[in-house]
Amino acid sequence: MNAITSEPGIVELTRDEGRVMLNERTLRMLGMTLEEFEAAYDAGTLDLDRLEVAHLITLLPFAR
Amino acid sequence: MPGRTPQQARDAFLVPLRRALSCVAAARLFAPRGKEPGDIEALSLSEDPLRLHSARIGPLQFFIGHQYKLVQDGRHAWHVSTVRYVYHLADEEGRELIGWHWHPASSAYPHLHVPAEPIGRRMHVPTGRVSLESVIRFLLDDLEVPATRDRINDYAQVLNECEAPFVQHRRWHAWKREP
Repeated sequence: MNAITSEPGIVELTRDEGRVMLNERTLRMLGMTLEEFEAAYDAGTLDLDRLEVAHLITLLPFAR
Repeated sequence: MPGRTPQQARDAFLVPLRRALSCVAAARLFAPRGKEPGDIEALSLSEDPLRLHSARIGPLQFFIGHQYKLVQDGRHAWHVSTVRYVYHLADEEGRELIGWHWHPASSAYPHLHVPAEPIGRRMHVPTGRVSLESVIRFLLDDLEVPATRDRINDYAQVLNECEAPFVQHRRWHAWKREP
């Protein structure tokens, strides 16, 4: 992780770091791995009414 | 938020957001590395959801999701354009209290979800475009979430300063339905 600006507290994540971060969150919030979450997202089978799902979809650019 | 390079534009977007978030939390702000201009990027906090305490309604969970991309304005000008935002407040058990959304792929206009019967949370209550700073201001002023120690005396000024570039440079506020 590297700070991208002189402002403390802003951290850039590589794709691998982003996948680790997001995998921890999909497991904690939905009980599924990132791979399972991505597969369900691509298949259109996620419950989009769940706030955690809407939230995690927004974070997908960290993993892709 | 403009800049002469993609990095300047990204910094001009992220630095005020991080400063605004410092009014309620010490969490770090994450952004993806290695994206090219035009790629969709996202931001998130190291603490997700952010756990806060409202003096009015008790423990809160604050979910922050925001996507953006870098757009070239001219030969030497770039700006950050928001692609999607999803901000939620939930109670301690994870029940949604309110959500500010703009996700144009599935709902064109910015809207609010409020789980207040009989309307219900599935309804899309129209809003203007909502800044993250304004949601943080709502937390502090209306829900009486305490400001962080470093910002207890100046959070209002910090939020105003951080929101000003967004207000000045945003390309739209009220959503316009195309004919």
